[in-house]
Amino acid sequence: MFGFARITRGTTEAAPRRNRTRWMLGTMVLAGGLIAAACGSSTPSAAKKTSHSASSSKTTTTTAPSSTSTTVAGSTTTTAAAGATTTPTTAKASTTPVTTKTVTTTPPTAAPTANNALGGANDFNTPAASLTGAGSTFDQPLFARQFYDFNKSDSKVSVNYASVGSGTGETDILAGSVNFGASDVPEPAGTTGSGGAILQVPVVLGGIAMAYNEPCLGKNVHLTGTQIAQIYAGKITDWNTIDSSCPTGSAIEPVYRADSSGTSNAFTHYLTSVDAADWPASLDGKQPAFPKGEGGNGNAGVAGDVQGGAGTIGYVELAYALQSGLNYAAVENSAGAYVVPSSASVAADAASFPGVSATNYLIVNGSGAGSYPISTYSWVIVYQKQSNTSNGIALGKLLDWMATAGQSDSAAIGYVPLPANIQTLAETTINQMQNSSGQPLFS
Amino acid sequence: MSTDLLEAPAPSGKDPVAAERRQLIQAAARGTLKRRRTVALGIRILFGTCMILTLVPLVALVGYVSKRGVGALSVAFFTHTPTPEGIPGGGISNAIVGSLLINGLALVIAMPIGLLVALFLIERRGPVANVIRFGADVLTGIPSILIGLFAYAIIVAHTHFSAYSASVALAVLMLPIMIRGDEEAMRTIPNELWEAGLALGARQSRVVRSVVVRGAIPGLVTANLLALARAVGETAPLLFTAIGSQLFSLSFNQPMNAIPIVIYQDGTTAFKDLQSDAWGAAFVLMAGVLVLSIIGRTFAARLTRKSR
Amino acid sequence: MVTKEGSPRHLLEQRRSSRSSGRGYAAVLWTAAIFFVVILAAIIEGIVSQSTSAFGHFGFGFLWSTAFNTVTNQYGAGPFIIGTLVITAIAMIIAVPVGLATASFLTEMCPRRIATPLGVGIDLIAAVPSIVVGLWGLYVMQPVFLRDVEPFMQKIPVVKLLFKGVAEGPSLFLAGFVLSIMILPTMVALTRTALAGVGTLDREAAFALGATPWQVIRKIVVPGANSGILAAATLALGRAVGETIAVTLLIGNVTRITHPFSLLNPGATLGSIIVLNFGESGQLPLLKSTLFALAVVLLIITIIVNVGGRLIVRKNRQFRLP
Repeated sequence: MFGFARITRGTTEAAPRRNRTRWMLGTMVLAGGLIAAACGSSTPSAAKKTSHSASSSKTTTTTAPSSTSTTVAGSTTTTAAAGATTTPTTAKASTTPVTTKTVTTTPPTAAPTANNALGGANDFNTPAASLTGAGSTFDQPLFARQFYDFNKSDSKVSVNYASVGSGTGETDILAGSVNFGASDVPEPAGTTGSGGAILQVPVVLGGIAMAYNEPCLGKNVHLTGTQIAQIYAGKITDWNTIDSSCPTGSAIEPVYRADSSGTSNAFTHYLTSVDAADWPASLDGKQPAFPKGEGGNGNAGVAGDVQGGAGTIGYVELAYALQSGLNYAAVENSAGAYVVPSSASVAADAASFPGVSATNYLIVNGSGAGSYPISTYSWVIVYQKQSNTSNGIALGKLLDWMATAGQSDSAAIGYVPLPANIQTLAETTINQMQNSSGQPLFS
Repeated sequence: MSTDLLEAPAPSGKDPVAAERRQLIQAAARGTLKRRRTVALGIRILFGTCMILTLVPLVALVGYVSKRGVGALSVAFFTHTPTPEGIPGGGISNAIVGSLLINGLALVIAMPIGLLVALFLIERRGPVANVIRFGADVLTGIPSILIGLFAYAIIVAHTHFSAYSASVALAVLMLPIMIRGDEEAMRTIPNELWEAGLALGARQSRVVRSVVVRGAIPGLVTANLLALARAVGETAPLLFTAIGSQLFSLSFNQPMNAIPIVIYQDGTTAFKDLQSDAWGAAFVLMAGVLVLSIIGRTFAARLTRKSR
Repeated sequence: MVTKEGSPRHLLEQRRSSRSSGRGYAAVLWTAAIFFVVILAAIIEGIVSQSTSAFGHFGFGFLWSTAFNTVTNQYGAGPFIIGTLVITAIAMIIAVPVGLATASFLTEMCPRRIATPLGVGIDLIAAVPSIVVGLWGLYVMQPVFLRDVEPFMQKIPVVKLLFKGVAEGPSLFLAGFVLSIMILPTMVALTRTALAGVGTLDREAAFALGATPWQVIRKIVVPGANSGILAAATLALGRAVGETIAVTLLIGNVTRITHPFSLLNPGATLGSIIVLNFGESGQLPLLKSTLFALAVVLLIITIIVNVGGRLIVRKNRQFRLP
């Protein structure tokens, strides 16, 4: 009934507007449908090619930068090599040049089962992979730098890391919903997940700073372990008790991790070992029932709460304190000296625990005059049997780089380069990775 | 106005009792007039203060967000993906694209269903229509976190975190607003037009398509825009479905970043770079929602003007 | 547009319904309608079904138990129900009178030229997403409250009984206050509509009798708009109960109940506890079921508020001034 439309057009004044609106709606729907249909799959090359057009020629982060020309013959994916090589606009000291990288190993055209030994520091010969990880917020600042730097050298590997806390990371990797998990507290021996047995690779060493926000205190207030325990137990409530330069009535507000946290585990274990009277063993764990204070979410949330509050004190990885501009305490170590967390002091603490492994991982309260007592390693959890070989190889090489050459990022932002024996432990563990039929991935 | 009656001379009547009573009443009214006026003035000041108290935080909110947000905007902000803390040049391009995609898909899902259910409500009376109308009203009030949990329970728990599950959650969120709004819009079409169409022998569906829906387009657009404005700002459903991502992704089958997620995650950190990203994102979101609302209301105003 | 019996359209409809060409269209509409009902049922089923193991494990004591320990796997909803009720009460106590007063001012005591743009402005700000309001509350209001407002409240004679202890930062009071800012525009907008709905005839009659604007409001407008104001308050209450994200940022995320009770304590609400604990509940199925159980409690509260409000409004309508 076409005459119909003509009649109605006469009765409503909205004729021209109506058509325009319809055009807008239709275009929107079409566009949405087209985009959804065109990019249904999640192949890394598809993601990279589209990100190539969206981002400018400046450096992007863990996704593919706009061009990297590698001379690896017959590599399985080529990133769109349009434009010049990227020059990082930041004045970062150690920029690995993103240019042609001649690789000497055989080109991985075939199914890369017969691929490589772990090439160590400069092995960027990886298959293309888009990896997901989840876990410790303790590691997140270092991981962010490492994934960024690795991607600049090897654009085939992009990593999405969800900084959700050690507990959640463990859950996710055991459920198989991510490629790797990260936790400051390794799983007990014999733990298996949906993909079978797991491997735990040490990749991070860092100190837990007691960051505080109280103007009347100086830059590095002196705290003993007992004082920290009593603050968190609610027995010390006034900064004046700690440091007389503060007037009485300066309330202390302790901030703790409300979520399941490996950082909490290391911190509460330290409290129990130095002051079991005020901090019993029942309060030692990843998510203990803190009797006083407010809960923050993740290391970032605790740092945020400390920064946004008044008279607050919280335990965060040193990088968080440094990057937020928070003051942190000098803590008394087992030798009686008050030590500020730093690369050197945390390394000294770690050195007093030479036999660290996934079953013997706590390193708090070490001996040595220059040790910082609240320190911890952090571990990446992967499945021994990798169901996807490309992902497995990429993952292994990434972890290997992170444990070795990638440690150059550590000291700059508040972590500690892994000691040599731990690097060896890492590489040994990575070499145990297998493909889905049980053969070693790395020769 | 009100005092004229009081000050008017008493009408001369022969009845002295009535005149005396009238004077008593007028005297009483005159006596209370001052008190009543003072009270009225006092109330006026009090309520005026209340109004200022209402406006001050709201204006301060918009002002503060704008001030902090505009400072964070730059070309890099819109075109780059996030960089680690300490490395400048990061942005929220993946979040902006993510928000557009997730909300776009949600619109595509919700619009036809909303329109059809609204048509159903118009066509039929009876228990089913009442149940649906009641259900839509209740659904409008359900907290968005519960809808996020629902999407988690039926999609994510069986698969994995993905952008399309977020779209489903947002579509469910939009649906009741669209249904009620579409229904209201189509009810403004006068009966006569329906009957004229039917009298010409057209089928019901033809009448609806050509007459009702076309005529109600401004109202429909309003309803849909307002629903979209609400869905764009929701954070809780996204945290359980799309959970965010640092990568630039166009795949609906993977986690995706979105503007509210950026605001929530980056705004609670202590890192200045990320905080500034969060404020920029907050400004973009607030501006976007305001623009959508203004457009929606302009359409609504045109609709009411037209129907008058 | 309702089909009147005997109207031309109704007759046509009756004749129409027998034609097969209308059936396809009717089928499409029925499908959509049933699909919508199915969605509603699925929402409720999806949440309730995941919560059964927690309810089965803890029983009804769950509702007032104050335990929350992931190590011993003991959970209760008590602190969170209390938290939700407290901040909702604070928000309503602030927002309802102020909203009512503002709306009255705008409709009765303000010249139309100023009132209309102000009203539109308030309506628009009602659309600002709650995450933005929460962030502003975190950065701007929290320091102000910590430094000035909360110590001030501790000095007011009777009120200070509620403000014992030391101001810590995030608190029930702060969350309640920012929540009231969020529901205030809703309250104002809906009350304005309700007040404007009272006929001008009644107003003018009152003015003609010599009433002042305040008397007009008190005696004529508010009683006349009773049901509308109640509806507005109910909607505001519903929004306050359901608000999650902004509250999460401001309330301190503490799962214990601190003695003595004070509005300066941090706490948690049903929504905030779900948001903050959901990610790590994978390894703790009882915790996950508990979070869904808390969601069920929240759902029940929301439905009671919604349905109850509508019933009150409907009942009140019978007693409105003729």
